[in-house]
Amino acid sequence: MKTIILFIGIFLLASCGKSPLLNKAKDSPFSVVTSQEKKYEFPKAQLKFQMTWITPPNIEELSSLNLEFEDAIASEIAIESYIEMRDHGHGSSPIVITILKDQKTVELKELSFFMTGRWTLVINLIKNGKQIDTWEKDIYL
Amino acid sequence: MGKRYLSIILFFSLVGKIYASSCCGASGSSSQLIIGDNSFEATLTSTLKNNVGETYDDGQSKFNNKSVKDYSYLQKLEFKKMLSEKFQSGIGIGFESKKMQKTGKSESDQGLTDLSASFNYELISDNIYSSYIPRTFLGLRLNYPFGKNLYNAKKDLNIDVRGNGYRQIGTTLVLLKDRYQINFLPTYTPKQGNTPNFMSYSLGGQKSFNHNDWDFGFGLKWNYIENKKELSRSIQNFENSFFINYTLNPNTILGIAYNDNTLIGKSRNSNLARDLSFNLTWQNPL
Repeated sequence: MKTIILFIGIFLLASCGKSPLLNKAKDSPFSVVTSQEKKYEFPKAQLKFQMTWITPPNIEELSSLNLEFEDAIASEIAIESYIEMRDHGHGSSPIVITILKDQKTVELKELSFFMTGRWTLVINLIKNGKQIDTWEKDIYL
Repeated sequence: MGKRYLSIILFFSLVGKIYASSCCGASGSSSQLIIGDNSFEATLTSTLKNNVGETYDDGQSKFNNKSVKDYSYLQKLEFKKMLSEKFQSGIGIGFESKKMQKTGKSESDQGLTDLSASFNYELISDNIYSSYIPRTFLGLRLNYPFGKNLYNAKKDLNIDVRGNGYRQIGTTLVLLKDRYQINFLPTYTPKQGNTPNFMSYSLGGQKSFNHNDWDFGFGLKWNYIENKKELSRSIQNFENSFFINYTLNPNTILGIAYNDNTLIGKSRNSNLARDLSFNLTWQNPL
């Protein structure tokens, strides 16, 4: 009996730290994603923009957002965007990107945040096949 | 008698619906050992696994709400044979069915998981009369994937990730004494595709009890995958197991096991899962 208790004690000591059942995150433990975001900027291209979530990140449905630029994006510049979980080392399905006719609004649709954790949204500016600038933001689910 | 066993196998084959498994669990390896006095063992295992959430890098957990479905159904077949008095080998393969409902999408996939092979040597046998020296096995394990891994998955929701998904080589150390068992399984994954080389470890202990034809017990296993350089952070979880086995006759054992990595220990960047396994072992006693 003493040996069994010792064995159990070793196991419990070996697994110190709160169990997942007792260490649940309360809503989002990090930054809160809201539908109104502050203004951001591509530093090299000096393009300022505001990011507005149409459908905020969640696991139940695909998310979408709009980027609204202060100045029109040059026609030779393309937008590339993806989301990835750097703590796990994987990405997600492709994002549908549409630049509207005013050249100031970019729609990002079908963002698939399919698990909880830290995601990173990356947006790259591409000109003549080369990346000229990049911007990213961590999103916590 | 043969019809009864066939019906048991068919029951195990038809149980449960088919859903998907999560991406990021540090799943432990298997030692694939013959421990009893048998020359040959064949085991069919059916596992229903429910992925219930994930943990953050700081150890906090987030459990899925009811609208999220994430299950897998795995059938695994293993054969183990004594090659001599001290050498033995084993081989195993699995088939997994998956379907996931997340982000408004419903995806499904099925296919073979990993082909695993092992070669083990009994370094210290029970013939050494000592209260302290355990029976000791050393071994080598090889793993070849038929499914994808995190870095080459092509389907939505990473649903084509099955098994370990990597070519791997590992070693086995098993210590046994008085129904206590300790396993240490370090595994090396070489560079393949976009994935750098990395190490993973599984360290577990188990205690079993016996009453007539019944064996039952519990175990705890620590699973760890080191960070893959700039690609990802380290992953860790602690998996509890509870099992009951019944010896139907000298050739046949039925078993049921429950595994849960949500109960004990700090989990980081890992999926949270609970699974129930049914197994049928046919053995040939020496």
